[in-house]
Amino acid sequence: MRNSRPFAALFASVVFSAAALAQTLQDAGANPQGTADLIAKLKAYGDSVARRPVPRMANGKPDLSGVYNKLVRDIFEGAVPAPEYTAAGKAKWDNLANEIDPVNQCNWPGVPRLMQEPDPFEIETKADKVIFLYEYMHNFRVVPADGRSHPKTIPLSRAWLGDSVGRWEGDTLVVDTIGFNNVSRLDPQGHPKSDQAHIIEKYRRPRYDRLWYEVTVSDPKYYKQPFSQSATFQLAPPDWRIEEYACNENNRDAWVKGAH
Amino acid sequence: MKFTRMLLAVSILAVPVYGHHSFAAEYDAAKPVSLKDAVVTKMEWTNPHTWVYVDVKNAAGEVEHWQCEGGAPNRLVREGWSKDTLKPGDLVTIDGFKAKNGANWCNSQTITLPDGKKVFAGSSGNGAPGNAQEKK
Repeated sequence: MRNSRPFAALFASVVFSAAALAQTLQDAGANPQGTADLIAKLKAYGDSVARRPVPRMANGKPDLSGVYNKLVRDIFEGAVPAPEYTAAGKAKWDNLANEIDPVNQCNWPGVPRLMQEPDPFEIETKADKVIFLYEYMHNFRVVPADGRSHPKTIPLSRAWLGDSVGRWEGDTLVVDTIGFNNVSRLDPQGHPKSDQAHIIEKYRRPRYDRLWYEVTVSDPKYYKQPFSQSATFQLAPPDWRIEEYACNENNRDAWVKGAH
Repeated sequence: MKFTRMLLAVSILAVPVYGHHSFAAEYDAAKPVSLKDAVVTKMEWTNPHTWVYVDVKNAAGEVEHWQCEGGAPNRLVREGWSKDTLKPGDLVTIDGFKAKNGANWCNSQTITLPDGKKVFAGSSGNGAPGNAQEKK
């Protein structure tokens, strides 16, 4: 059985503000993935290191490296404007009940859904690249940040995670991704994503224990206009490492009649 | 805040969901089960879910074999679980929800250990109503 974990205000258009940072981090909303005890421990750790200076790499850029938990995060709750679908997008969305969630069969969540699934992720920032390690599905991304652009033709071997290139805009890491297949979805709720999708993620470390994240989705095949969402994640204690998640080990869903 | 979350939960339920999907596909939120004085026979530390196997006596005094799904190893470990948390022979109580297919399967939410300590065992964040209830 796979899970559905609402990432709350998925389609809320959000503008980063100091107020968002001042806000107390909430737990993961209506569907907690950890007990109150665990969440309290995580918050206490974050508070204990919050005043440390944000580390920087030798090139002066912020060092975003660390393991970030997804149990404590600032989610933007409240009214969620529905995305404006194109006719094709609406048809795809309305057909959801007839489709199998790809991750139920241990296919990868893709970008940006990886950030909306549970389980921690790790970032390692280097001078010329950024490495993302996701515990969920044990996925990773190695994103060059050395001035290169997307190749003219995206290799077919980059389809679930797409082709990502990174660049720094001041203290913000910008990761630009295209080249997806037509199978993965935007989020655990199954909002459609096409091979025309263009995903821009921004990462910033405004404070030692926090990682601010914003994703902007442009997908003219399925949506009339781009939309954005942001969240703030909290640094996990140093004893947190990326653990195993071997999805297909004993996954009955992968073998459910009719699932193939 | 809680009110907002409830509204949000309602709005999420109102949107389409995958045909084959999550807690609701396999377990019945209207059928909570409490397996009292259950004897652990086996623990499977597997992905994407752990499984606890127990023997429990029904009202007629007959032994029933049950198996209950729990959270993945990575999540249970962070909640303090180890391989010694449940051992064959341990007498426990499992609270959860029964499978829709009528088998003696359940989705566990909490397990009360021999020393009376309750541990979170859930598949966590799976939409099981137990999660929401714990929030209240």
